[in-house]
Amino acid sequence: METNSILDYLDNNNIVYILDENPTEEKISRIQKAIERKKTLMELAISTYKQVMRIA
Amino acid sequence: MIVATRENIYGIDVFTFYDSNRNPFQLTFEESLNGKYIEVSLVHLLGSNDSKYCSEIRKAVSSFILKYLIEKRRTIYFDIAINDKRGLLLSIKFIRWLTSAKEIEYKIEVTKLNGIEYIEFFIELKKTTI
Repeated sequence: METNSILDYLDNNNIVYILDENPTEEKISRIQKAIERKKTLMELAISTYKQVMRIA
Repeated sequence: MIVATRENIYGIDVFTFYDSNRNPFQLTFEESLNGKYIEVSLVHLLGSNDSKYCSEIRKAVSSFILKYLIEKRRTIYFDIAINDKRGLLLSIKFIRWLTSAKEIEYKIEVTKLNGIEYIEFFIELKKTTI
């Protein structure tokens, strides 16, 4: 059976989780900042490594 | 067996290692902004976005995280914004590891947000783990 949602996978495997379907504005802002921050840090790590290793 | 070099760069613990195909990876442990836990991230340093990390990488990463938990005795935090199939598969792989690891306990929180599922993992050593 194909899983299209992580919730399906968690439910099908009886894994306990907390679900938030109505996040507050504050939480939405926190998550959006975290996603952007992670993306920036990953790009920085990759570009630094490529510069050090002289990879185009 | 994969061996990592460890450095502390501006307060971030960085483990650098290579798979058997000489692909470079970095596993980083960084204090969260709110100071409540340590955020872990895995980066493929050549920029591949492929979630099909081979089993040797999964074993190595699991081992590094477990050793770090034992050393620090803190909550480790990991998040994934699931907006495509790769994110979903990566999440499932991570959950499989979490549920099979006997030494840890975890909490999972899923937030529905703008059409994506944002999943957060909070991982701690079990009190019984030495």
